Amino acid sequence: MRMQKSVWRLNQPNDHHYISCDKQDLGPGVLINGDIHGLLKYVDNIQFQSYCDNNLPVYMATKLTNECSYRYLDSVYSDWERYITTVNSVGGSFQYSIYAVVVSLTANFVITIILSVLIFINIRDKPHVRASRLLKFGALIASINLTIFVIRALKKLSWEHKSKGIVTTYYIMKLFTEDPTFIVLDFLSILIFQLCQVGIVIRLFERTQEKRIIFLVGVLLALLNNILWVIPELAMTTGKVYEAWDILPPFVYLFRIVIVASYACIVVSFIIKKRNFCFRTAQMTLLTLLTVLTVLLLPGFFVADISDIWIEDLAEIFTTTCYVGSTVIVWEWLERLSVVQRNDRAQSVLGRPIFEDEENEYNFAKYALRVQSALARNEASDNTDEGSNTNLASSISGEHFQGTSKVPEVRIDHTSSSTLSKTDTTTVDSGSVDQVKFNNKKSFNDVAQENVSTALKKMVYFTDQIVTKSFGKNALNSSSKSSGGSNERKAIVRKRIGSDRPNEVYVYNTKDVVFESDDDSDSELQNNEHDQRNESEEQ
Amino acid sequence: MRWLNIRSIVAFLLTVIVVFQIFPVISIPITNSIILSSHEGLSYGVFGWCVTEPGMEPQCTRTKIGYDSSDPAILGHSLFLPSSSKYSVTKLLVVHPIALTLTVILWAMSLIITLSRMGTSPSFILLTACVSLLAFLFSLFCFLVDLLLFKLALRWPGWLMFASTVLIAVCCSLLWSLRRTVSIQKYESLRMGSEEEGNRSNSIITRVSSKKDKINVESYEMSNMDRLSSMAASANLSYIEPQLAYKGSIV
Repeated sequence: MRMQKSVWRLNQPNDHHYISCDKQDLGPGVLINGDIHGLLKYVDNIQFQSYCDNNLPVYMATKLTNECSYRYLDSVYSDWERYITTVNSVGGSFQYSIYAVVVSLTANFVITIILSVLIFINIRDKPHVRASRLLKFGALIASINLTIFVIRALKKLSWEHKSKGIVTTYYIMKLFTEDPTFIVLDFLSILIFQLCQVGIVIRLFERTQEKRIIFLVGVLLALLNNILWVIPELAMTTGKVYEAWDILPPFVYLFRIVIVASYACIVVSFIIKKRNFCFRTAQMTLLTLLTVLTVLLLPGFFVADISDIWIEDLAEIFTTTCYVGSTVIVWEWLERLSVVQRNDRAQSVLGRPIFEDEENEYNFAKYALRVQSALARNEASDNTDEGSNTNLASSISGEHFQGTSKVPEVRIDHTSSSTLSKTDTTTVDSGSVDQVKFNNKKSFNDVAQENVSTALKKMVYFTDQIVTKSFGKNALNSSSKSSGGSNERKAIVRKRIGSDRPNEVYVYNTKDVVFESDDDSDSELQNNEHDQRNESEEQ
Repeated sequence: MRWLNIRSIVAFLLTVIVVFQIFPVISIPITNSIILSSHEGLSYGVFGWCVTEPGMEPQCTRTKIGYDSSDPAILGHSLFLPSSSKYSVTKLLVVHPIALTLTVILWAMSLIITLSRMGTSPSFILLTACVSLLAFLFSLFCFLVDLLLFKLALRWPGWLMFASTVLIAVCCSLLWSLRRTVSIQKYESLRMGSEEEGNRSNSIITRVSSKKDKINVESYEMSNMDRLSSMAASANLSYIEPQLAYKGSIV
């Protein structure tokens, strides 16, 4: 069992030579076969070569016992015995046999399907709408990919068994490296899971600026890792060998380990930081331990790989499952943890911590509002003196501002620093000596600085949009895991507005409110009518 | 104990890390005494490998990135790695000098933070924290490459990479917490300044409303253009909205 893509790890070729894989002269004899005309044929010189996979013996589906009257050659027996007692990656011991591969594949398939079902059942869309949908999409792709792969692998095994009477891992391993469908779907699913992991890490941090940086760095690393991974994979499907890319597969392999190790470090350090919440109940403790286990699974495979190369191949088979597990379980754990945290924070005044990078905005807004109120007061006091604004302005520093009399609209600028933006478009009298010319032609440096700052602001704006909409913020309105609360609230509102029973028809009592004065007028009207009726009867 | 703060702790830890990371880089064949890994009579370093026989001077390859099995300096000896990896994989050892360079840059930045006024600049500390992330990734990469190539035949300079990875993670964490602290301090000073400024502008408005005439406000210190623009705003002049505003307006 050896994958083509991990061949970079083997420097020395197989030094075992198996005689049965070469042609052997058996001399004259009788051939018995269904394909031969008459079933029997006498041949002067018979040459025999056993079926081998890359000069290694393969397991025969036929019976290989000495008791059988029609038995294989002794050289085949001895080679097979030697092959299965060689315990390394080029040997044929049980752990490298087809059984380990089939068990790994099916276990991988079952775990992935179960986790995907859990994702669809258990993970709600809100409040992290896009991230949760991305997770579901990734799980769906991973499940489809593994289903296709398992079906194809079983078909290959069946074909080998029926047509050649042998069972090898060769074709299954070939599917891993040369099947474009598997490579593309694997690429997509792992990229999506890595992006979801970026979302998880974003959720672990509460400050806006840190969220921005994590988003940018995380997405960049995920894209870089997967693009570098897919290049040699797709190149391998074309059959071409690029010597210059010899170093790329090991680099990507280690790069991936670095990323998952960093992810594990962040999650574990967060658990240590929030240990009071993580180990509060037995359920949370179990889930936390499971989380630690899943995030350490891929780095663990690497460490195991150091001691035995056989594990590396299994790690490759289990990669998708490891990514699904380390994303889904951590997500679920985080959901439950956020409920526990929110319950604690609900007892505080604001309901959640407010950080200075959020507070800056409010500070700015407060300042703007104070200016506005000052203006309003000023306007109220100066309503008789219309020109005072200009006078005031000119008196400030001997300059002449052209102002408007309307109350300014103040906006909150997320990206602005603490300083107010300079009034670039404010014009001044050209005749003044001490004037400050705000409309002066800017130097190249100023223009460049302005452009860079605008580009940065736009990038930050874009990042914030994605971070806020995809992964949500720890806002007060983020709903809790128990959706019962929101449903109850919805039901109350529905009942209040009467839309809970839309098909029921009500007959309202339309009795008018009767006042005493109305009674009088009514009685007068009735008297008048009565009089009129009497008059008509008399006539 | 005034010197014992986050800045000085980070600077000290980074000094230790730089020293740790220098050892693998100057290993064999640059120096004869420091060996990154040894296995069955062969010694390995970042820039080459040597044949070491007891009582004899080690024969080493030329100093270059990636091992060369056909180096004329050690003809007659065959190269094999403890992990049976291909020789081309040894080119990945190039990450050692890259990691060292990044760590030295980080160390220099931490010294600037400790010794100069840049230590109170949130943007500079943010930049340093980002560099520390990169340094952490490369340091971890170095350790994994060493482990992949030499397995448990790795010697103490290789394990020092593991120690430096852990220490960089600690430094990284401290730098991010320093960024938070400085950001809060900056915000507090900003808030205080803002309140002070607000009080001043209120007093100006009071004077304006009382005199209803030209008022000489030059006696107030208008140290910068921001204050001037705030005065302009308080005088009911147009308040120019920022170039990029994207949250709901408060009117």
